[in-house]
Amino acid sequence: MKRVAGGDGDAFAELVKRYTRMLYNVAYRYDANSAEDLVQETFLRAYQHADTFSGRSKVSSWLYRICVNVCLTAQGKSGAPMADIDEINERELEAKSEELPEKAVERGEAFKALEDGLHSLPSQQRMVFILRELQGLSYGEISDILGINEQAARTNLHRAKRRLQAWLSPLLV
Amino acid sequence: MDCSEAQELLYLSFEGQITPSQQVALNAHRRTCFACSTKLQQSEKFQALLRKVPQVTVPRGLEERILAHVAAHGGVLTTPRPKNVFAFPKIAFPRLQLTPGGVLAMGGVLAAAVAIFFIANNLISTTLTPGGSAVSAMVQGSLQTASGGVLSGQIPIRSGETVRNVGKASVVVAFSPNMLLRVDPATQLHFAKVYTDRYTGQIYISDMHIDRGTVAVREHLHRDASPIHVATTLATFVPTGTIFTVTQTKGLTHLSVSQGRVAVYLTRKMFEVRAGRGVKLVANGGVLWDKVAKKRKP
Repeated sequence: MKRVAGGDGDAFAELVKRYTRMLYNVAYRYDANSAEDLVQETFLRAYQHADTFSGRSKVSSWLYRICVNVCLTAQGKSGAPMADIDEINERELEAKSEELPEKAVERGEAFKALEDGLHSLPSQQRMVFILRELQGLSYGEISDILGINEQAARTNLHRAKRRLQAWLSPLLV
Repeated sequence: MDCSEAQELLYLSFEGQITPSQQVALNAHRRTCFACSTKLQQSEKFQALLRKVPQVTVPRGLEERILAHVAAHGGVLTTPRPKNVFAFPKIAFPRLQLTPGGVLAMGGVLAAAVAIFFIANNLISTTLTPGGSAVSAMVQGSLQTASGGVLSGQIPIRSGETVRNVGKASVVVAFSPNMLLRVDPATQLHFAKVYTDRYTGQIYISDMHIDRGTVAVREHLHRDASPIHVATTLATFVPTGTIFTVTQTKGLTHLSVSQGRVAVYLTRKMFEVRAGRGVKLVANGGVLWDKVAKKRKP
């Protein structure tokens, strides 16, 4: 990171090579339509602020934190809903499960339905779910990245899973 | 216990954090509460589904677009000063009591070292390709290209090249004395991105995909960055000063590490495989540790 902060192009290219896949997966699950823009913006901020990397956390955690901020900020700018965990009535999501297209159910397009359900979640729940269930991070890492305590991360994850399970229930019979 | 608590305990059990007494309580609830038994079964199916969520493939050329975006918006990415590939390691020399004869002997040694340096430097500078999207390799045996051509002897291998070993013997592709591939019969691999560092002359094979078959890699060039990245449909392997073998069959990738260590990047996690270990990766996301890998050189 010191070399990146010093403007070393090769070191930055190596950083991009090593972490693009990881960040693209987070950004894609968060907002598939803007994933590429989100990853580009993440690396731009990482390059511009490389000198602030203290080395206390892992490089991956530092990049995750930037990516999360970029995703949340972008969603705020686009005017998309940023509901807090308690602002959405769980019954709304459960009701939406009836809207799942029959053909999707028949074809077993569970992954596509999961993506759709994921995009219906409040931003923080969605991000905790992505980091924990799809990226395999620990609650400690998630709390560090999102700036919340571990119990809040757990609560967010369980609520996200309950809602997604309700959303996917036609596919889980 | 109510159904909501049972659900919470089930989530804890998925994470391996349920206590024995909680497990007993959960089991008892499942036996007696028909109202939530379906929901708990759905939770288990949902968890199983999550384990199978595939990793998203990065769009081709994204890395280049990121670098261009940063160069355009973040200022010019300066290139580093040329690295000295012959930099001597820092060694603490003992204090010497030199005699006139000793000074002469040391002078002779230094002169020989300088001569070797210039000869080696000259040899390497004449054999390395400066930059570009092709690298020079020595192919012992013959490989078939996607267009039906044959690669043999001293040849350039270009980015985007797909090669197959259709013979009955293994073929060795030597990029340098310290970076070799052994391509076994019935193997197809794709060199998506190869280049030579314009300053150091180091060869990078930053995106090599094994479509099928077995490739053994010997890579001893590691300095600042891993010069070779090997991928299959299931994982990407980033080695460090390593000898390892990757076998790709339909739905299964087998990695066996003989020396050094290899970082394995999967959908949901990254881990390292050290020398003497192997790992089998299956298409449904499963990871099976293999028995101790045998010492094997390509």
